[in-house]
Amino acid sequence: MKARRHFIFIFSVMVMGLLISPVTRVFSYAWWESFGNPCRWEGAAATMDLHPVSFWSGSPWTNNMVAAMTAWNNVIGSRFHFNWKIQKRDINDHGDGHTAVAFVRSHCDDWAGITYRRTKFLSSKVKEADILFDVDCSWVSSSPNKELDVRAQGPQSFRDVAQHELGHALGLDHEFGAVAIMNYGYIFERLQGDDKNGARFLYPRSGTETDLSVTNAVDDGPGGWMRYVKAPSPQQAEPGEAIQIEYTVQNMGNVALNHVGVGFYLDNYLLDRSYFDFPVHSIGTFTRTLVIPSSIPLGDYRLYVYIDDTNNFRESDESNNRLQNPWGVFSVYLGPSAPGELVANPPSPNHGAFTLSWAPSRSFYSIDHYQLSHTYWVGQTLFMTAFPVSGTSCYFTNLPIGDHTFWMEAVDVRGQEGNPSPTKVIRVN
Amino acid sequence: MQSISTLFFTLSLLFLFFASNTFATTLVHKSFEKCAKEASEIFEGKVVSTHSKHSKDGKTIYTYVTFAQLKRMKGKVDQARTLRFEGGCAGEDCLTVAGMPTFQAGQNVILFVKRNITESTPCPIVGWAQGRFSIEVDQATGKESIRNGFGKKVIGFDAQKGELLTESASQGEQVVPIPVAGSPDALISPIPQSQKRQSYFTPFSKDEVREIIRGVTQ
Repeated sequence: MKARRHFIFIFSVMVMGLLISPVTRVFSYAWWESFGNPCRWEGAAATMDLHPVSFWSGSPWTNNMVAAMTAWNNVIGSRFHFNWKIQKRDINDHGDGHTAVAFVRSHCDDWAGITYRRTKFLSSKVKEADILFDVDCSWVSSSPNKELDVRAQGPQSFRDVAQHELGHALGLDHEFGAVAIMNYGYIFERLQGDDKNGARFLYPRSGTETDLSVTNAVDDGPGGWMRYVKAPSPQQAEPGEAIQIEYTVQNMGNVALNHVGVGFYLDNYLLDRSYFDFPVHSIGTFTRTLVIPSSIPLGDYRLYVYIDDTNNFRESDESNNRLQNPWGVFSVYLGPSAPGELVANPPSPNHGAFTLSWAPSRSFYSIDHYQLSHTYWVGQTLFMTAFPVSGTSCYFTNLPIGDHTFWMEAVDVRGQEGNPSPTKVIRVN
Repeated sequence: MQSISTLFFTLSLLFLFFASNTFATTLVHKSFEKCAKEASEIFEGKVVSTHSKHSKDGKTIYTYVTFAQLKRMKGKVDQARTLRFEGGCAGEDCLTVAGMPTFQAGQNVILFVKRNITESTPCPIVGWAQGRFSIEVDQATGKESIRNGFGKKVIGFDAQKGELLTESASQGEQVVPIPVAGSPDALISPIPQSQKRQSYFTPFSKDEVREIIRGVTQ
């Protein structure tokens, strides 16, 4: 009897290690499985009981929870469906067979959202998946048209976190290094191709989807937390100057698409266009050099990347084809021109008293100040001074006797320095 | 009564929106430095047993993990320590908590234990997987390496950000779009497995991690 108990204990320990483990394949999406079978909901459906204290009818939290469920329900090629009702359940009971969704207080110490998934031993059927959100975290109900960097300071988008937790609830696991709402440090405000492919894998149904998207999330390299962060932002360039951008394009659908155009724009000015073949499930981050046309008028623009800009493909979602103002305002402008020649009055000042004047610089933006520099020798020692001045003249007195070499440059309100003026040697008697 | 609760809840949310400034996902992101500072104790130890059972009220399942041969890195450390993690399999039931660190007997780990563990604490580790590291010894070379709680090999430390650097985090090869018709776009990610950056770094040893912990907690 004792030996049998011992065997059962050993067997149980071995089984525990094998029982539920994350699985990854070539694609990034991951799921949980039990003895080789992916954990799934029977009937490909789950009913979420939204706690009435947190989710009352018509509240923004309810609306965004429903929107998050709808996003998963609308994945073409997946038959999974979230149903919901406002129903009070015991939010601490993770074995009552009811899937409760609620806000709780947990000091926002370690987690913002958490999912408890219940299965039966040796079975891959999901019985329950409670979702809790920590009310002590800082929340906004949604962040439309905005991708969040989780490492940045600021409130969480409830809809984004809800989409992530619902992904756990239907059977998906965390993943790394992928543009996906199931990424550990997700920054995306809508389901990505990888998320959709995960749902399609767990709950396949017939149906094809054509959907392309572009984002400015790029690889952050080794970091330990998450791989995808926002691309560095080009902010300005002069006409004729070359800039380099980084962007990520992906095939979110489940059909291959060939010769897809990707346009690069400054407002309505088409800078250039590339073409790609997109295999199924393909995604990549690219760099691209763009030359700002010499003829483009100076001013502020929106620089953006637009996939399928000529609308050759009919897509399930056309709203994710263009980065919405991804890099902020992009300025095409000229830096300050060099100030005019320096003129001293009198030309050879006695006792070092004289006025230095110059013709003003020109700039697309206002000149904030001039930076005046001069050097002179005292014996064998070279002295150099530099200081900001405003206006177009400057008065000097008591300069040391000897030759002084002056030059200056203009600085515009953006801090951009222009070319220096020609040097001017002034002999102080 | 319900309307009062609703009002309180709404006011709480509004207050918290303006009062707090967190950055979080499922897990609240914590740098290595922050994890080290928040931990009441940090130790290296060996997992000697795991045991799961239902809570007294039967509403949830806990897994009790016992660590022995403890070596102190911070705080007061006993010879052995048992910690409770929510989730596990007990009887016919299994409860999976997404993101919860898991342990297997025989593993050598470094743990950052939380300061205030209560009955409702689902995970006693600071930042969950962010405060858990495993120590591995390469059987062929005998060299030691450290993996973070997400299974990624530690290869450096960014002192400015207080973050450990790890090998590239991608899972498997991905299919990439192919530029056509002379498009000059250059692929920068995903980089092929053969070119991953970890080959340029030497994996960290536990002594190096210990030194960093000492540095950031002084």
